[in-house]
Amino acid sequence: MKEQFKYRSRNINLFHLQSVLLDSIKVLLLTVFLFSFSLTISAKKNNKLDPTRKTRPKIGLVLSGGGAKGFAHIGALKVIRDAGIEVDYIAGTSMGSLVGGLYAIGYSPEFIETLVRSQNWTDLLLDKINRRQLSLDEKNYNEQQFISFPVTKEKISLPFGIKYGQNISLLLSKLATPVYQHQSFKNFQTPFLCVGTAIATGESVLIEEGNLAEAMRASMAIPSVFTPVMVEGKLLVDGGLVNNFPAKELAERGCDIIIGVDVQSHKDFQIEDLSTITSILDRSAGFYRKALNDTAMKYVDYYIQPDITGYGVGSFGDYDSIMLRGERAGLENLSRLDSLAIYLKSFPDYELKIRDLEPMTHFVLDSVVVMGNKIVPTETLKALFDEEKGDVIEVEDLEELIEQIYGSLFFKTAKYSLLPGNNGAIVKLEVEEDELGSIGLGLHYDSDYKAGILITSRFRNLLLKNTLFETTLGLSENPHFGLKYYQNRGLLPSFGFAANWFSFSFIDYVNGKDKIGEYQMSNLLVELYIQSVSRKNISLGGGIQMEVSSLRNDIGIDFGVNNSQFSQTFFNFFAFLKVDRWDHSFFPHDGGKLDLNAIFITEFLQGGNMNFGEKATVLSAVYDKAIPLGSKWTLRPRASVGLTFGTGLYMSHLFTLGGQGAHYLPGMTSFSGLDVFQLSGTQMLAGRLRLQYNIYKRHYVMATVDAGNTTFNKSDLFYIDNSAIGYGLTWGYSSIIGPIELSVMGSNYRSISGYLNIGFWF
Amino acid sequence: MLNRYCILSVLFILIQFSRTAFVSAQESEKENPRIGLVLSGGGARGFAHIGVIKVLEEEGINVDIVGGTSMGAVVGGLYSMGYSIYDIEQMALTQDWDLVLNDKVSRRDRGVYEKIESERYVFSLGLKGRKISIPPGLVYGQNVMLMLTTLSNPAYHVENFSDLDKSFFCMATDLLSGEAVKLDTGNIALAIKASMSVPSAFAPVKWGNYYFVDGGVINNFPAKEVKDLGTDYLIGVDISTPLYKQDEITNLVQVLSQSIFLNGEDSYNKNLKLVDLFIKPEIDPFTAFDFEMADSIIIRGEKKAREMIPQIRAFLDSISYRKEKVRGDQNSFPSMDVLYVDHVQFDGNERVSESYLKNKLDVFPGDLISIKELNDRINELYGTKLFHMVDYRLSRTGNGETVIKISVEEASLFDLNIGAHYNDFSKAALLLNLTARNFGAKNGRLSVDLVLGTIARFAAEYVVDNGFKPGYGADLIAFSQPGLSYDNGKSTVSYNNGVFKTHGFGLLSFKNLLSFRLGYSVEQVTVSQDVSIYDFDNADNISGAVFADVMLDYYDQLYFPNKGLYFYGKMELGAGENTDIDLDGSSNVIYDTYDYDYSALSFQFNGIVPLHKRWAVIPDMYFYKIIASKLPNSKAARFGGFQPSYFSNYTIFPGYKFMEIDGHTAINPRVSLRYNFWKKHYLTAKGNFLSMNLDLDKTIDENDFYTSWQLSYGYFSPLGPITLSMAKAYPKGKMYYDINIGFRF
Repeated sequence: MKEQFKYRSRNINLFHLQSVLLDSIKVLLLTVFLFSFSLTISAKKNNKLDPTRKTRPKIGLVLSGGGAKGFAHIGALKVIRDAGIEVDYIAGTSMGSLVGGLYAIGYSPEFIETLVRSQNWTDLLLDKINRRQLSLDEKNYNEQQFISFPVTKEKISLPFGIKYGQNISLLLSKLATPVYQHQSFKNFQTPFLCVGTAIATGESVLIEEGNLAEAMRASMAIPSVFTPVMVEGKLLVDGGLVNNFPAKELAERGCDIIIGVDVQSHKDFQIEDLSTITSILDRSAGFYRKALNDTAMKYVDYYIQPDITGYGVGSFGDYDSIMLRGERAGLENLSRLDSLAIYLKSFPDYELKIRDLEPMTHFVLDSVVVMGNKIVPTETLKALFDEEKGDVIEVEDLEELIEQIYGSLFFKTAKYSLLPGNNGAIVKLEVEEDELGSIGLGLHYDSDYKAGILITSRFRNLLLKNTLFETTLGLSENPHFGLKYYQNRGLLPSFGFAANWFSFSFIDYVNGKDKIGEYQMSNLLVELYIQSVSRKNISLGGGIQMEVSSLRNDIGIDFGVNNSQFSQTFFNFFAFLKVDRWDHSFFPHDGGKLDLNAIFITEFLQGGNMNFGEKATVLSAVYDKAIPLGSKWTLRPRASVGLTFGTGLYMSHLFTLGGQGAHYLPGMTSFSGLDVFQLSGTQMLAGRLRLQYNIYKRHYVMATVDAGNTTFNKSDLFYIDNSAIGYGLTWGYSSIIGPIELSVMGSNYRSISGYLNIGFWF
Repeated sequence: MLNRYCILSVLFILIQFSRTAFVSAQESEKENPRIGLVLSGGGARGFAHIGVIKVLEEEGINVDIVGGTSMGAVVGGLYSMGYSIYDIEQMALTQDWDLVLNDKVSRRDRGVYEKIESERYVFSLGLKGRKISIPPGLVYGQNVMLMLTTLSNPAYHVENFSDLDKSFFCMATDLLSGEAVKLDTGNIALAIKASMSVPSAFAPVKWGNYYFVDGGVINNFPAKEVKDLGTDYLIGVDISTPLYKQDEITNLVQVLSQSIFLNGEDSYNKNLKLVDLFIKPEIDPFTAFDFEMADSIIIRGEKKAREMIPQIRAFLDSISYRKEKVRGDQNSFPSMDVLYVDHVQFDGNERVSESYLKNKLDVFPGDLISIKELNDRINELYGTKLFHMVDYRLSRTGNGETVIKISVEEASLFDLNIGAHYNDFSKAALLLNLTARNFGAKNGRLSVDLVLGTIARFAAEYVVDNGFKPGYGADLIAFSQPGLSYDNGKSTVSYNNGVFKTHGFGLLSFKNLLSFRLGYSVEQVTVSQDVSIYDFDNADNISGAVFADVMLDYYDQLYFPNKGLYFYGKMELGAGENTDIDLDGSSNVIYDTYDYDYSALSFQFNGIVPLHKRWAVIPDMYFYKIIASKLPNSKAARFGGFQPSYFSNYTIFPGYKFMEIDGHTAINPRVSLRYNFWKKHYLTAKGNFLSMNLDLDKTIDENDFYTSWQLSYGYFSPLGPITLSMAKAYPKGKMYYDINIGFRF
């Protein structure tokens, strides 16, 4: 088992394209002057406030789609509510359906505002899995490649960054918990409908019943961003494709007066705005809208058009300004809204509803229903619930469980919804299983090991259910090949089989200073193990391994005898305990990482005529902690101990200090200012203190001090004269192709040297 | 090829189409109703139109108006211009669609310093300011535009498409207004290209205030538009791919494409109702991308139309249509081969000066130029890599003078290029390159390389290649490569070779094929200790030389070339100072520093001799001779290993270790037999021979001889060549293996 520093990335390419697209939209909006139609349109409709009318007119509210610009709805809603207007029906598309839906079920505009502010929109929209929810095996696999191609039974597909909307679905499910007993949206505090587009036929589909979270998610399934959603047998994408302003639908439902908030941009397109593939595709998919809007506009009596110049559909970070602009647009129409409110108050049955809804925190479990699974057995998924019928479930715990199911990477998406049951709520767990497998590609360079190309593959559920089969092939100066077949059954003990081979060159330093020889070590490790992974990502396991280790002298003094190569075969027993709670795999801000290993080595066969020993027990422990000091600073202490009991001397189980990155052997500890393998011994003690500062966005600066010692005799471990002191200063950048690090460092064993790393480790 | 008509005719000038025959035919049968033909879009499936039209002609139908979208516009446009349907069929069958639908430019059309470009990187990105610019489509459509322009030349004087042999228009979609636009006037080649510019595949076409993509997005079957032009009856041929059904939508691309093509669904359904004779060939399972299947797709169209002959005849009877004389296999225009040029105009250039374009194009008023030659010039201009697009249009002024108007669309100044490769010798390596063209001076080209890997390298080159006018350039390269020294077959010392080389030179090049350089070079090689049981100081070799070289590169591609030859010859006169390191009898390090002067001559020749379709023999010859007062190792001819390196005078010789053989006079003939057994897969057997004279005092007849054979399998993948080789010295030696993945750099 080797633990490496690795990086995770998923769907980065499209994200990058999108951000470029969004930037260009921003720039465009700046150049366009928006003007309001409100005066011309409203003038002819003012007669709707008919004083002779007997019954109270029904008020409808329509909220358009427009991505992040839809945050303006929140500001406008505040003004409408504060003016004293209660609406009787709400219709929305895309972001309008999100804001409108939440308002309709009883959340206050203030609640929605807080919600918007508290989200990390990038993570939410990018389906980023919380690193802590990833299983340890997944952390290893996912943090080493930068591009991954899905494989189905028939073919290898292109890596189009599809977002299954996992995170947004989870959020919406939680927000919809209070209304889980309502089947029809008409029964909400305010009746509600939202619009989706049936992708097969292009028809506009009104969603007025069923699961609210799903309805909102479907309505905002922008074709180039989110996957479509199946609602009642129809595959739906963003309603904005065909009906971005469902005013007519409100009129059809008996609304007499319709207030519309429109955050769409109505400017003309320029060639300069359409200079990239993404913007051209996006534009090509949106031709329908204009004509439809023109008819929709006729139904609107109070037209509020926030001036959102300068922001685009992707400006999710600018929620403050956008909400403010919505509020401002509302206030510009205040006098008219006021007169509407006065008119409405003249009716005796008029009242303002109280909106103070909060999401549910817990509920009583009736039962669990699992849907969508084809390969993974229902029982396996149900078994993840410790709770029984009648138990109280915290929504927070349920969410963590769902994230963990998603984090197992057997699924494209895992979501839940609550259904009314006889004795509480039925949890409907809906999963969509992932493709058969994927093929990944990684590139890497660092000054210690030079450039490398990595080719990985992973297949799910081969031979046995709940299993993953992975292969890695690393082409570099130190080539390696590995395959791994293991079960992922969570807490239940799971077996694993792994075979790894690597070849690794290192330089022999005499007294830690002079390079006198170069060796190449080849190691084949075949192991069988059992492990169990807890919900908190603690993994505990052990097994047996066979190790064939050979050492060859390439340059310099050989082993003395007329023999420059020897090999050993071991038969080992091992046990491990690993915890990884880092929030970020390369520049963690919070969380700890513990790695305990014990290996009992028995020599099985031996080649050559060297004889180093017979049996040994090797223990090692590493604790690496990230302590946040405010939002930018992180203190990262690390302690490593390695002890060997017994007489054997095994090259592959030596403890070494030096090198900055990947560790081919479990005994290798990175150390500033030392070359790979520069200090080695059977006993090791090392400590590191690193101060990390996040200077700007994804840029970091780190100052590191290392101290440590390696010896062949435990009693010398604290002999201070031989110990190494290293120091280093590093600039790091977390890029889409992995971390980029540049260091300057030195130690009492080596003069000042530089170090460069580009890309994910593997 | 498509220019069959060009080849047939011997010389000449532009003659206007004669429409007289056509007009009189119409008059004599004036009671025949006017028939319009609607051709839908659908990519490669559109070849089926050809089969259908053949049958329609056989039935004596002479359509009056043709309206098409996308591929329907291509077939319909060519047919309307006057091409016989058989010529169009030939064109569809013989065209290298893989090339046409790409932006690739033939290697021979690329400048001497641009040749390497397309055979080095995994991908390239333009830089706009400090940002990477994302292109507007996968390809710009250079080659397809040139093909359409060439084909449209016979109609160059026709401004209004209704004046063509058959009245014609095509549909495009304006991205700005989101509306379908009927194109019936102007540049017909560009109109057809606009009509077929599928969003994301092709960059949109700028046309006045419009910005066009494929007409199929909104109107894939323009029946109403044909009807409105005053036709009595409509024949419609629909080869479009239907919208996806719900359960067919499984990925994002399908969702996006469906969202786009949903736009056209309404108009499509309305248009279908207007058609009087509807022909819908069954083309499944062929898709819009199956351009290689033109043959089968044409037959599908023909088959369907033949099946429908009873309906076609019934339809003709019902409208009392009498058979007309059709075009058959005759083009309705005279062929056009050579052009007398009155004016040359340029359009679209901003950064690149007009005088640059003029000189590069080398076509001036008063010239008589063949269309083929003109196309070559356009390709050469495109081969400068300064432009995303280069196309031309012929037109005629009021007083009958011919104008060539060249339109260019400039590429970004800087390109960022990334390469990656792996081989057993240098292991994995990454290349980052920045290239700027027409930078600094006119024709100036700056290229900076940074290679990260076991052999780290930095290189920069600035060359002003003015073609036949004198140019100049300078380059520098610095790299560090580990080396081993052996003692009784056991390596005892590893050291680093730090190499720094720089050249300054004057330059002449001719037709992108031949270049001469005369210049001065400086080289420093520093050997420094790495892993060693002996301590030694750095040892330098510094030399300077006057050099002259000549290069002829006529390969069609660098890897697995099919035709062409390559020659490189170099002469050097120089002097330097060298320090040798050695051990004396008692293992003490001794240094020997001396001055030397030398003259060297080398040449390299390769050629391809195609034997048969799949077999080729590749003879290859390398010669090196140095005459020096004392010969330092870095000036010797050095051989061994599978992979080329940047060391001077180094040549691969599989079957021996890297630099295992050295000497002062080398004659190194090689011969390969290559078999292209499947698509881009090759098997090669190679024999290497070397006669090496080691000692300066020896004469040629006292040489050492080396022989090795080599077998390799190669695959030319999109990411670069992949080769697996094995080689062994003859008669005895160890077997060596090698794997290489990716382009060399």
